[in-house]
Amino acid sequence: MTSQGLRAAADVVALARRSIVGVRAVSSGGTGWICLGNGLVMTSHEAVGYQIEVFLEVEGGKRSGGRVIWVDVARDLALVLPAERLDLPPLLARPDLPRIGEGVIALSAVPDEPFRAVPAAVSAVDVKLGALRCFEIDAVPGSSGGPIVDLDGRLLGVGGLDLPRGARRRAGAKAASRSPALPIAALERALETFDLAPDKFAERAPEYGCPACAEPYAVEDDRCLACGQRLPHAWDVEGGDEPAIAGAEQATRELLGELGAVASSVRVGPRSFRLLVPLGEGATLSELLLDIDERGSSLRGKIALIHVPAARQEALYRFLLTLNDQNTRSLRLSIEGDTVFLGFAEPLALLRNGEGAARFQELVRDGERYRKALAETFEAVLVA
Amino acid sequence: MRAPTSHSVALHRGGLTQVIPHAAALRLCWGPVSTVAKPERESCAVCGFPLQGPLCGACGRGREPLPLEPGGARIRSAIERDVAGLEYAQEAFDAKDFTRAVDLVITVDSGGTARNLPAADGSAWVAILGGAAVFVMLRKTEGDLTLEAPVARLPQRQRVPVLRAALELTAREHVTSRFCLRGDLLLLRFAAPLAGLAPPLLRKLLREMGHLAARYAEVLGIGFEAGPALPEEGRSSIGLDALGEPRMLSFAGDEPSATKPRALEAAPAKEPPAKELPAKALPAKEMPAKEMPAKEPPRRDSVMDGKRPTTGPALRGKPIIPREEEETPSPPKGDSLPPILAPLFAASASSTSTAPMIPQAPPIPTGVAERRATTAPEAAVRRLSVGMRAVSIPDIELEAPTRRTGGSSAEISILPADRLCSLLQQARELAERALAERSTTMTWLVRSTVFRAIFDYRESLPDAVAHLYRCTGFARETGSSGASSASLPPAEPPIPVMDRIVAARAAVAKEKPITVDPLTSAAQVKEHVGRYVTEIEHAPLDPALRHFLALGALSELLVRTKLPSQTETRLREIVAHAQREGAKATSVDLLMTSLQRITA
Repeated sequence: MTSQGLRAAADVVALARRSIVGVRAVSSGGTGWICLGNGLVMTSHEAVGYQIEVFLEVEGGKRSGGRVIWVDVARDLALVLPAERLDLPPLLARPDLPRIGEGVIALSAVPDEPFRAVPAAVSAVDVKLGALRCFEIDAVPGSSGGPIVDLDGRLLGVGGLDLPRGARRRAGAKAASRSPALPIAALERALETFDLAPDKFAERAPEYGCPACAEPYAVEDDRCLACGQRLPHAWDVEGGDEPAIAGAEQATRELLGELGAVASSVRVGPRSFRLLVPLGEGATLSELLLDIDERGSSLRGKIALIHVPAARQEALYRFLLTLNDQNTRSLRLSIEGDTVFLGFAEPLALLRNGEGAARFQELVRDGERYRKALAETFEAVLVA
Repeated sequence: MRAPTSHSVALHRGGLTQVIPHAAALRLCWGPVSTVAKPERESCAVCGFPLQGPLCGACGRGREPLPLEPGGARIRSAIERDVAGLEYAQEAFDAKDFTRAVDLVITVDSGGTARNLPAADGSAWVAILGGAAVFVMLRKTEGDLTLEAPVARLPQRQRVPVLRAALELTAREHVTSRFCLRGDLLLLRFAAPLAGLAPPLLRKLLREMGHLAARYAEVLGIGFEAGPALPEEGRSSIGLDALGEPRMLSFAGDEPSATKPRALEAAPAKEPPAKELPAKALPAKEMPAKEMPAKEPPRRDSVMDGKRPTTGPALRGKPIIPREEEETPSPPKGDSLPPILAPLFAASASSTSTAPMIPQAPPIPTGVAERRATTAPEAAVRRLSVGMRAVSIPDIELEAPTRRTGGSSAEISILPADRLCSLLQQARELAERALAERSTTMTWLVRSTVFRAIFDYRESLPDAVAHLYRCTGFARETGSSGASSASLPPAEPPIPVMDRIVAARAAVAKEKPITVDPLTSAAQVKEHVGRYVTEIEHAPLDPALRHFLALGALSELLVRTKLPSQTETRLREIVAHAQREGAKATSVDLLMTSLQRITA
C-alpha cells in the first residue's frame, strides 16, 4: 500500500470513528454504531446480553445510558436507543454487496479498551449458516457487533457476531482465523421499520426468540421449551453431566435469583458470573466476580479492593494475613497479580436458605470498608 | 446504466454491473432470509404422530394431554449423600448432638490419630489428616466450628516472598485455603456455623485442609526454605498452644472481638457428651490429666515431649529432618540381624550354618538410637546399622513399648473396629485409584489389606478378620495346609467384602479361627517379599498406595514367619512408626529399604 493509500485508510477510519460507540452491559460489552438518522445504535445481542439498560461510550470517554429496544437472537443483533441524543452521524451504508478479495476494515470500540481497526479482505460470500447468508472476512474483529466498512468508509456489514448462535460457548470451539459478517444489504428492510422518531420507542422492549424455532423463551432457561435446543447463552460446561456440577449450577442460579439477578444475564464463563455492585461513597459500580469450583462443591466470590503499592509490601502482606485471622467467617483477603481482593469461598451446602445472599451483602459491606481503609493506610491506589 | 438507490443494489456478474431492486438482489445473491414457521399441527401427546381425528392414527390414544409432574424433588449432592462410615455421626448430627457428631467424624477419618484437647468453651481435637496436624475447635456459645492447620514458619531471608505466596495461595478456589499469620506461624483456617456442617461435608473439609496443609508446607519449605510449623517428634503431644496467639485488630470500623476466636485456654478435661455411645464406635478419649497443658500454657516452641531441647534454631525455621550432609555414624559390624527368619532355622541362627543370610533391617537414626539405648533392654549390645541415606530416615521417634502401653497414645483411644473400618475404607479408596492405572496392583492391595488386618486385629476382632480372610480367598491360598481348600467357598470380589465389614462396623457372625500357612524358609521369604517389592515398584506413583503395600508386605512377613525376637521387635517398630507417620516420603523410603534388605 502506498503512503497515499495509508493516509486514505487512516482518514477512512477517522471518518467512521465518529459514528461508533462502545456498548457496556453488566457481563458483556461490544461495539455499536449509529445506524439511522434517529440516533439508534446497532450492536450485537452478545454485546448487550439480556440487559435492558446499558452504557454507551462515545469518542472521548463520555458515557451515556441506553435502552435496548430490539433484539434478533438468531442474527445476534440488537438496537439501542440512547437516553440522550448523541448527535453522531449514522454510518453510510453501501448499497451493493461485497466482492471476494475486496479490502475492508473491521472497527471496534469496546469501553475501557483502545479503538481498533483491523484490515481484512472478504474471503467468501454467500456463506450459509443455517437460514442465514453471510459473507466472511479473513480476520477476527476485535469486538462483537462492530461495523465492517470498505476502503471508502461505507458500511458493508456487521462483524464479530456469534454465528451460528452459541458457537462461542460450545466446547471445542476453535480459535477462528476467519469471521462471518451479516451484509447490511440484508438488514436494510428491517432497519427501515425503525426509522421513526425516538419517542415512538418509549414502550418498546425486546423479545427473545429461539434461533431454531423462533418461539419466545425465558432468559432463565438454558434450552428452548418448544424445540428443546440449547439457547445461545447456554455454556458448554465441562463436567456438566456430573450431578455435582449440575447441582452447583442450580444452587448458584437460586442464589443469584435471591439477589435479583438472572444467571444467564450475568454469566461470563462456563462457571463464572459477574455482577456490578455499588461500592464506595460515590456509589461507583464495582465488579463482584463469582465462580463455581471445578468439582461443583463450592462457590467463590471476590471484589477487587486496591492495587498492591510500590512500597511497604511486607507490611501490607502481614496486615492482610493477620486480618484473615480476624475474619470470623469465610471472608479472606488475597492477592492476584497486582490486586488485593476480598472474597469468600464457601461450600455450596452452607450457602442455602438465604445464607448466600447474606454472604454477598457481607462481602460488599466489608469490601467497601476495607477498600478505603487499606488505601489510606498503605497509600495504595483503589481499583477503579 | 442506472445508479443504485436506497432500494436497489449494483450486482456485479460476469464483468457486468447490473442495478436491480434490493429484494431481488437478496434473493439472487444471498438467498431469502427464511424464518422458521411455527408448528401448527397437533400431535399425539404420547407417540408424537400428527393428529387428524379424535384419536391418534398411530397409537389410538385420545387427544387429552399427558399428565406430567411439575418437577422432581431436589437430589442431594454426591458429597451430602456420601455417609459411608459416618452413619453414627449422621445420627448424632440429625439429633443436633454436634459435639458427638464432630467427634465421630474426626475419629473415623483420622485413622486413630485423633485426640481430644481441653478447651475453655466447647471442645477441641487434633488429628493427623493427610500428613498434617489439623485442629478442630467447637465453640458452643458461638455455635461454630473452626478448623486450623499450621503450615510453616516464616524464614528470615525469604519472608516477603513467603507472605506473598501465602496470599496468592489464599486466592485459590479451595474452601480451606485461607492463610493467616500469627507471629511467624502461617496456618490455614476455616470457620463455619456448626449447623451447616453435616458429617460428609465436615469430612471433606478436614481431608482438604490436611491435604492442603501438607502440600503447602512442602511447597513453602522447598521453594522458600520455610521452616516446619510443628516439630516432627512432638506431634503426638501437641496442644492448642501450638497454634499461636491470634491478634485482634481494630481496623476499618472493626472492634477487637471480646472473645477469642478459638478455645485457646486450657480447661479441665471433661467427658464427652453423656449420651451413651454405641459399642461399635467410640470417640477419642479425653486426654489424661497428666498430659494436659500446665496452668500457664507453655510457649509455642516448648510444645515438646521433653526429649529435645526447647531452645535453639530447630523450631524456628530449621527443619528437624537431618540433612544428607550431616554426619551419621558408620554402621557397626556387629549389628547384622539374625540370619534366619524362618522358624525352622531360628534356633540355629547363631550357628555357622550355610542357611541364606537374612538382610538387615533398616537402620534407626542416631537420635532415636540414643533414646532407645537408655530404655530398651537390649541396649547394651545393640548397635546401629547405618547404610542408607540419612535424609530418608528423619528423626524417627520410635516409641518404647512401655510408652505405647501407657494409655496416653491416641491409638488406643478408639475401638479396633473403627480402625479396621478405617483401614478397609482406605484400601477401598486406593483400590479405585489403582484399578484405573494398573489392575494387577489390586491383587496385592487386597493381600496387603488382609494381612494388615490379621496383623493388627486378629486378637481384637477375630471374626471380622476371619471373614475378610475367608471371603477374599486368601484362606484358600495361604490357609493351613491341613485344611481342605476344596471345602472352602469360592472367593468373592474383595470390595463388597470390605464394604460389608465396614457397614457392619466389623461386627460379623462368628467365624472359625484362622490358620495361616507359615513361610518356612528364607528362600520363600525372599521370593515372596521380592514379589511385593517388584509390584510396589511397578505400582502407580502414589505414595499412599506404596505405603499401604509396603506395610502389607511387612505385616504378612510378621504374620507368616516366626522371627527371632530382636528382628521381630525391630520390624514391629518399623511398622508402628510407618503407621504413625502416614504416607510420607521418608516413611515409604524406610519401608522400602527394609523390604529391599530382606530380599537382598
